[in-house]
Amino acid sequence: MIEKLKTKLTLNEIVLSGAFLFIFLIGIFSNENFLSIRNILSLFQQMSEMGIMAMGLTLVIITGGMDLSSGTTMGLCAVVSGLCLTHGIGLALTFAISLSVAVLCGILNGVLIAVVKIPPMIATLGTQMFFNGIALALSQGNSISGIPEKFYFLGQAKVAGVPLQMILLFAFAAILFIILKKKVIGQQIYSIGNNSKASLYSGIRTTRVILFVYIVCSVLCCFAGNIQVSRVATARADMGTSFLMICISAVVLGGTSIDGGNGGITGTVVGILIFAMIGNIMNLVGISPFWQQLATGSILVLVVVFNKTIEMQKYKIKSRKV
Amino acid sequence: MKKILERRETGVFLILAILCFMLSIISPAFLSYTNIKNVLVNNVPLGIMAGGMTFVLITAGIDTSVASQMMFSATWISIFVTKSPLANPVTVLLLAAVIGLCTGAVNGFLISKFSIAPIIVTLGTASIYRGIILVYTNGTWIMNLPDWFTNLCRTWNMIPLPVVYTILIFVISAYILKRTYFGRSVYAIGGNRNAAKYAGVNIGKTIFLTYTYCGLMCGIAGLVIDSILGNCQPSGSTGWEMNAIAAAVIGGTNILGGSGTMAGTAIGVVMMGVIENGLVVAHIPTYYQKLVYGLIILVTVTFDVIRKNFADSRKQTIEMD
Amino acid sequence: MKKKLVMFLTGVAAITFGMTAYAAGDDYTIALISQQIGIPYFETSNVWGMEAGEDLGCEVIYTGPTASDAASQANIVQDMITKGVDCIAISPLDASAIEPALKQAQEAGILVITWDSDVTDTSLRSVYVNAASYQTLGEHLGERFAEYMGGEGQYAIITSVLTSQANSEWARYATEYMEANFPDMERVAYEPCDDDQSKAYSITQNLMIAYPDLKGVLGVTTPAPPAAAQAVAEAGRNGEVVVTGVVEASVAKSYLEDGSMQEANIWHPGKLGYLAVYTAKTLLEGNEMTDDMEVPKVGTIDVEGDQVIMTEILDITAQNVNEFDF
Repeated sequence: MIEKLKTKLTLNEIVLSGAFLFIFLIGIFSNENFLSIRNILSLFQQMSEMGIMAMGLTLVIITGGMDLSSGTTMGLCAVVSGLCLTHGIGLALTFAISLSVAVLCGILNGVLIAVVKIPPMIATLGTQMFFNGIALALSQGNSISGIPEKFYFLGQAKVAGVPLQMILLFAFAAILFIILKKKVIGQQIYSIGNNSKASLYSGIRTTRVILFVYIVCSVLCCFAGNIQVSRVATARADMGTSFLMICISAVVLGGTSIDGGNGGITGTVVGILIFAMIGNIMNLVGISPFWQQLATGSILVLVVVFNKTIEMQKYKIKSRKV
Repeated sequence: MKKILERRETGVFLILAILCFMLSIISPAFLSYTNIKNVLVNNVPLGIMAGGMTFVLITAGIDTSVASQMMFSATWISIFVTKSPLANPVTVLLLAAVIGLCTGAVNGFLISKFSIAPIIVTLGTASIYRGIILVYTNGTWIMNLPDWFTNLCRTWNMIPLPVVYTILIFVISAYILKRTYFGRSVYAIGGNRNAAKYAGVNIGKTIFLTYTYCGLMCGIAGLVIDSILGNCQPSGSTGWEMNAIAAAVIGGTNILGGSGTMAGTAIGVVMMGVIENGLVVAHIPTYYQKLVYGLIILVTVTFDVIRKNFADSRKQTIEMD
Repeated sequence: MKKKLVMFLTGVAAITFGMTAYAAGDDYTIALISQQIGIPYFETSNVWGMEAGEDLGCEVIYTGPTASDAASQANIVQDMITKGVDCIAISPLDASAIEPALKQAQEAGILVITWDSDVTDTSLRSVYVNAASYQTLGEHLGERFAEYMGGEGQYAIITSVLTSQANSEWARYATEYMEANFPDMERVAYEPCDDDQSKAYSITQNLMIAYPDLKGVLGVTTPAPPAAAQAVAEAGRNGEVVVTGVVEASVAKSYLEDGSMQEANIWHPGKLGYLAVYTAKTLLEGNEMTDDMEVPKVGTIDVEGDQVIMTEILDITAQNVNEFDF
């Protein structure tokens, strides 16, 4: 049985599930409310925005890229939606405008990276400030309140007792999972991450694929932004800016290699879930949030080191056998 | 002459010169002694960090924990100088060096021993270092650092001492990079890791030393920022790691490794400082400052990359990978 | 491998025991939620709030977001509801973004009070423990600042981040007050310092260069006035450039004494935290807060409608700075 599991799961998946179970157990033992349906639903409600953003980042990171502007793209889309809604523009049109802004952001990133060939870290570092600048200029730094109640469905509604954004989270996860594993473009994304030059010579239109990936990432950030606007009934330019580092950490924790070429959506969702649980447990127990920072960093380092140690040991044994 | 034109720093230097020229027209006070001194002194901590970052970037690595390392060192130093009777300029410098070396060595150890991607290790350690000082101090400030300590970074006869230290650090770092075996190994690793390995460079050791050196720089930056400000805010300087990376990259350091100079980073740091200062001096409305800031950086980087691609396309005829 | 497993399990057990010991409770549990933890202002509230918990025999949980992030404050409120606290006493980071979460708290039957700042929809909380409204403090800041400025000249305001509501409102009311009463005063700049004193310091230096006739800097966030004062002192312009603003006595002390800063205007954040916990306990026991009530360690308070109002704003100068303990 264990042998069977071992062959089916990769090493990282085993370590990750271990870490997940470990924290889950701590949660169960430390507070009786942790396992309540109410808490689990609110946990998912809180993590969906971060999870959706992290899934976009996963795609980008698989191509060997990076999108530091994802947090501020989320803030920009939030402000755009907020302004549209408070100026009496209908829901459908608001979504359309907000999404087109996201697509433009994605195109800008994609062009700078795939056409001008600026290293992704640097290109998106610049656009990060640029998008944040636009959001601040548009909102004049104010938080935009008075969002019409018909917009609340996105972040506050429940379908059969389940928060809508949780359904969206899993829907996006499913779609991206299928794209990555079953579609040609998914293969191409992995291929570019493994070796972009070889991919180009083997006939993959790398520029197009990279553009696609950055646009998808921005669009997902846009969804995350709109969900948050709806959840807190306010739009602010600083929304999402604190998500970036946690999302990158979660993607990596989930087994996606930062150099590109491998990884997947499932791991990312579990990674975000782990970080969300840490915060949730600490709040439930009443530990100062400063410890959260310490715990998040330690878990990231511990899991990655643990992973590598086993990997290295395995490698040693194998090479001895040969 | 031709050599100067070919150098990467030249382009950024030109943009900087144009920027300064425009600002001096907008406001004559821009080129005053006080303003130039302010711009330089205020960017000393960032500059020292960016100096360490340059080493790391040349090896094709990255260190996102520099700001946390700096505040980690700054916090313990400020506690030390306010509480300990042993505190004097020598022991403080020693402490800064030791703390910086330790935090850097932890990064270096994890990265070289387990061959984990640097960005991941340093993302993790950044939260750990910051978490430790915040948990310990509860986020409260350490106030009223003694006069002898703040005097270390005063202006002496029109000469701002922190700037002198920085120049000294940069000259030493440039010497290490260009003239020592360690420095050349740093370039070799970033240029082509496998080639470096076969040429006999000890990869693990060099990487370890690079991050340790970067940590040392952050430790000293922590000492300097404490001394300049006269008190310490453990939650301060968040996000400066990105500024340090930006400064090095604007100065021509290749984030993919293999090239970069201390002189370039110095120009990059001054450029960042001038933009921030210029936004206020040029009376740009607050809500548009960040927009302009992002735009200038985007334009500078794009310009540099296009220049490089153009140069490369003329140089190379055969591509080998 | 076995050894590792044993170590692993021991680790789980240790952490679990540690946490359960931590969570042992008293009769009432009050969540005191601030806008951001790690800021001296709210840390003072924290210390006094904890003291109130000990004095009154109830458990106080002090928490808040680690960064200025309205959504994460909403998450904390949700987690507190799940935890089953008896009262949520919150200083909202954003007056409207917190409302959906507070609505959930109300539906769960939890007593909600606000302190320090209020929410837009006042039906969502029972009382507001108020030191001074945005308007009162803003106008007071403007009035005191203008007096030192002599009612004329260019001035600048330094705020925390452009998206911070409390700071922006104080700045707005201060500016409006001065525009209305002192037509010779001109606001030339409004700059954010990201709650980072090194940035506030360099901004003040930049402002003095950009506006050579600058006569005053008003800091509406804690890190700003001391950093501004230091920049002014180093430029040798003590008194020429007026510095006042919102800052704690302990932080302002050395700058007030060397003359680089003229005055700090603030209420006692510790007493406010104490009063918030005291009010929560009183309401939980089914009692009312009444006008002219004597609250131990805080003093006499006023009650107006659904607002519990603490003492007046303190004007801290070099003469009286030693009288304050925060």
